[in-house]
Amino acid sequence: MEQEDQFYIGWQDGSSPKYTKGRKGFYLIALLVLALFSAGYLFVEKSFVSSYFDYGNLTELTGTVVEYPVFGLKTTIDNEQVTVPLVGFGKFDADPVLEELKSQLNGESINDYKVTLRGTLIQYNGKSWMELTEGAESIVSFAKSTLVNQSIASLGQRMVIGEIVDPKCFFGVMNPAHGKIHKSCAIRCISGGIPPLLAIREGEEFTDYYFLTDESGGKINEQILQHIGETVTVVGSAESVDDWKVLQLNVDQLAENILISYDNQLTKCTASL
Amino acid sequence: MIELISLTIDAFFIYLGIGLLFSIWFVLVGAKKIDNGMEDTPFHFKLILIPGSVLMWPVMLIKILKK
Amino acid sequence: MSVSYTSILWNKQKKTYDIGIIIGVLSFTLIFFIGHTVLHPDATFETIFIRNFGLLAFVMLHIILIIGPLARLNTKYLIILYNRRHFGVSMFIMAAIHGIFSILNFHSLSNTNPIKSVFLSNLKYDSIIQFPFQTLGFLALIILALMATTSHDFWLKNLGPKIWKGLHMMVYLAYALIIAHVVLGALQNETSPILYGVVFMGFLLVAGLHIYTGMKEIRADKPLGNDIDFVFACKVADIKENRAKMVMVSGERVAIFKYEGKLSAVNNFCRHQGGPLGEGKIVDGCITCPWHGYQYRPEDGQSPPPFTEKVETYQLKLENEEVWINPQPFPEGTHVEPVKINQ
Repeated sequence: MEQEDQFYIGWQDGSSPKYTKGRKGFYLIALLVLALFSAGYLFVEKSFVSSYFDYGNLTELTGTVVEYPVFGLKTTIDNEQVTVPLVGFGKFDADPVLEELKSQLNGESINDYKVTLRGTLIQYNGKSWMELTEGAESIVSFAKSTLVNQSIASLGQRMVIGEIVDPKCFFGVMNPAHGKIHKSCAIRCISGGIPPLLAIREGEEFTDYYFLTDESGGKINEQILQHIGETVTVVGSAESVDDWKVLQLNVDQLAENILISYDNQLTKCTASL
Repeated sequence: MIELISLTIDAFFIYLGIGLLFSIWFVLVGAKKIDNGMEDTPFHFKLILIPGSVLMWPVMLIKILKK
Repeated sequence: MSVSYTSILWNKQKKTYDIGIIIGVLSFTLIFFIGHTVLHPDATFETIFIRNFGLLAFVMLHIILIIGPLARLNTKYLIILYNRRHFGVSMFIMAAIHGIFSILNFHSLSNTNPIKSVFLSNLKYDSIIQFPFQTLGFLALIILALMATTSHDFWLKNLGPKIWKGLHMMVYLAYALIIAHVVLGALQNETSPILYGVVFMGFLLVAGLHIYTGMKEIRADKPLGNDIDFVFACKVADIKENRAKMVMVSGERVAIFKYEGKLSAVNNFCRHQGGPLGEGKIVDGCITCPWHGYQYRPEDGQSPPPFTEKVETYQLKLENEEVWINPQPFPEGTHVEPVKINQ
């Protein structure tokens, strides 16, 4: 049959060589395009930081409970005294566990007890966090012990440029867990009580962190929701609490203190006032 | 604006809810009224009509009522 | 149609087509996952998963949009155009996996309904850079869902060609939303200018091919005349036996068929899915649409029983070797005596 007279009939089983050739060529090109995009993307996407979420494995940690700047456990990991902040399952804080613990202690000071808690470890850049995955069941045991003091030192007034992140995702539950894509997830986490943390970038890595509180050390989660996931400039009085830092802000001046800046380069000029 | 968005999403859920109820009636009874090709169709065909009827239920309802 | 529906009328070509789609999806996913374990071992499973299906759906959408103009430029690609709905539904499934998993990952297990969270977490609707891009993807996914769930012939018939066509033209709105979703979302977290370049090139390719083939058709559609008098259509010799010549009269495309020493003219628009009857062929005495094989008798534009589709017919006349046509159509299914060719 002549070339012109070929007629594509799609509802029949076979078709003429012209069309099967067209299909073969198209498939081959489409497959190549798909493979090229799949493989090519690997080389153009940004590299990932090495953070870690020990999903599926529960670890027990023993130490003293602290409540400032956030609910945490002062304990020893790898022979080092660290404070492991505690968060709840999902996009929530672990405050219900703290309440449960206090009620089990019948009004006695929580600082007089050594507590063992079970949860899932989250680790990045030398810092550890723990998700109290099982809620109230996370409390394994507690026993009377001597008081461990927190060492708090003022660092003076500071202006810091960084990104407000939700530390649960940031330290390993998600990766990457900062910037535009993660923004609404971070808003949900912080709205659910997870403490807001200002992370300061150095190149591709984040190397320094400040918990953000109001001037009396209270929560400011609701007030800062719309500043999460962007580069911001924050002014406040800084202090170190054991191995963490805190920046206390004046909530009334929040809008003035948090200056939005799109230039990541600015992060390198972190200065103390 | 937050309330408006929130209400719109509630309305969307209600729309889908009604659509789900409608779709069950539609694939079992309603479709036959407007399309005699629906007689004796296999069960798996009825199943693939469900998602479409969940989304397009107002159009189909109007067509059936007009008939 | 008065025959019962079935889910898919499987044949060898459809199977080949679907196997092609499955091979494409699997190859892409395998390369992406294995590539990440080797080159980006720190990436979490959820991130790889979300990116895989997002990127896959994005590339598939571009291929789908290119098929239409490609088949108009070269008929050998009709084989890809036919059954494109399988490709479309597959692309929707990939986009839905991306969307549903992203909503579960970023918005579930929180203090707000996940769907509401998509719209109400980031409230910077007045910013471009910080715009809540996930809302754009969500809206695009709803459009794709409307299209995918109504792709079966049942919906074409029962929604009516106007609503159905309208729904399926919304793919271009979905495409625009998806481009914005990608540019304001994924690209904001990346630093490579190559990504911007590739997205832009993809857009140029889709838009360019559509504009090019569109212009070609406008030129081919130069109208012959709008008055009641007969107008010159073509020479008898311009039409091949059992095939048609398409002409534009009174704003409608008409197909003039030559068969068994006779000439008949019908409206070009197949009532099934709007296929071009003029690119069809007379098979067993009936005009046969190239898209899905719907048939019409050339003398009265009616589908042979038990089918009920009808198209408009036109009066022709022959002057020497010239075919003339009356631009006023007869109502759908009107019998018109075919014009005999003097040989």
